[in-house]
Amino acid sequence: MKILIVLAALAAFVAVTSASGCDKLQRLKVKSQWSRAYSSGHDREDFSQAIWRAIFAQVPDARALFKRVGGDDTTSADFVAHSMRVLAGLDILIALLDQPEALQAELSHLQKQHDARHIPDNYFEAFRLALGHVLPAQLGRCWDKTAWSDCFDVVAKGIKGH
Amino acid sequence: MWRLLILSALAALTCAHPHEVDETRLGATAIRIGALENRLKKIKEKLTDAEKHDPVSMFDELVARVDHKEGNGCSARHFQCGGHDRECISDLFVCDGHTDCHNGHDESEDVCSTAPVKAGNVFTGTTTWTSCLVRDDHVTRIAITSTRRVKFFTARVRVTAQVSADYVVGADHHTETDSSPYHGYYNFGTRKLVLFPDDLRHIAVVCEFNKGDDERAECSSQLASKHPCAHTLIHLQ
Repeated sequence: MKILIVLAALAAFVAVTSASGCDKLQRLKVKSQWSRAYSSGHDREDFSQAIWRAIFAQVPDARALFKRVGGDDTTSADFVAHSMRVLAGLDILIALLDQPEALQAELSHLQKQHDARHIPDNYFEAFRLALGHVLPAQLGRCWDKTAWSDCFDVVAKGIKGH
Repeated sequence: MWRLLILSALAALTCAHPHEVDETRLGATAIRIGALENRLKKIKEKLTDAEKHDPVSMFDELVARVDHKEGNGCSARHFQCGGHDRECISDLFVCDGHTDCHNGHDESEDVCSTAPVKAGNVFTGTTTWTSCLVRDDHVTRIAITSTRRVKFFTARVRVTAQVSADYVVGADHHTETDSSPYHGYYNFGTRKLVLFPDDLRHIAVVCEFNKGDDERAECSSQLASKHPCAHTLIHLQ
């Protein structure tokens, strides 16, 4: 009986730790890698442009959601402005990864903004895959795939609300 | 060749009827034909030799070397569109299926050639260590084992490779080959192949195809800090 209880406790412990992902150290890693990839000035615009091209190449239908902000042409001034705004939002989220309460507040704010748009889950997945390829290209080296994947899940879940 | 056949046939005919044609003239013609054949052979040899010294590739190499010395006016990890415009674009946009240079050079066939990183390519060269490890010069082999290019982000080619080195060891100075798997990517914009070791104890290899062709590259073995440890000039086998 005792062994069973210990086993059950162990199983519960494993479930909790593996489900959480994106632990403290991973969050710090993502923060520092992001600050390098996010860069500045024109490089930042190019980085953002590459991400959006990779997203629309996967889910061309997603362009329809961005009609109001020049989504038909990712190089248009309107869309560049929009894409910089999106990355700025992501920048805030990543900067807050080590402050759970503030992160939660920002996520709820973004969830409210996204709720009305009814964004399918696969669009978030396309964003994750785009980051998964553009980030290592931008960083060149020193990029932790698992940390990014785990921490992007936290962000995406927070915005989707599920 | 045909002419020769006809002439020899004619010669055979005249031999059969020696009284009809002047024999000395025929003999002189035969000698002349022989001389011509010899000259033709020499020209053929010269043509084979000429192939070895292709002026176009020599010119390409010279241009590449001068460009390298001059610099192209672009910041790091940017691609020079070339031509009279002298336009720089991010290397994230080179060969991504979207024209970004005004002259379209970033999507041109020669820029986007995947020839340097075809699976099965084997490059070899002699490595000279200048730092990090104490090692005599040795032969290094880089064999591209597989490549992958995702459809939605084509500006990079994912590459896996086997990097091996021949070391002379032991009292009898026999050669041992040490081979380990590497993975990385090829960047069209910078013409660089970057390979990271699967086993982190090994050292990364960065090869730049800067000799004006797809067959030679200058490689540098580097620590994570990009500190250079060794250099190798590799050649496609």
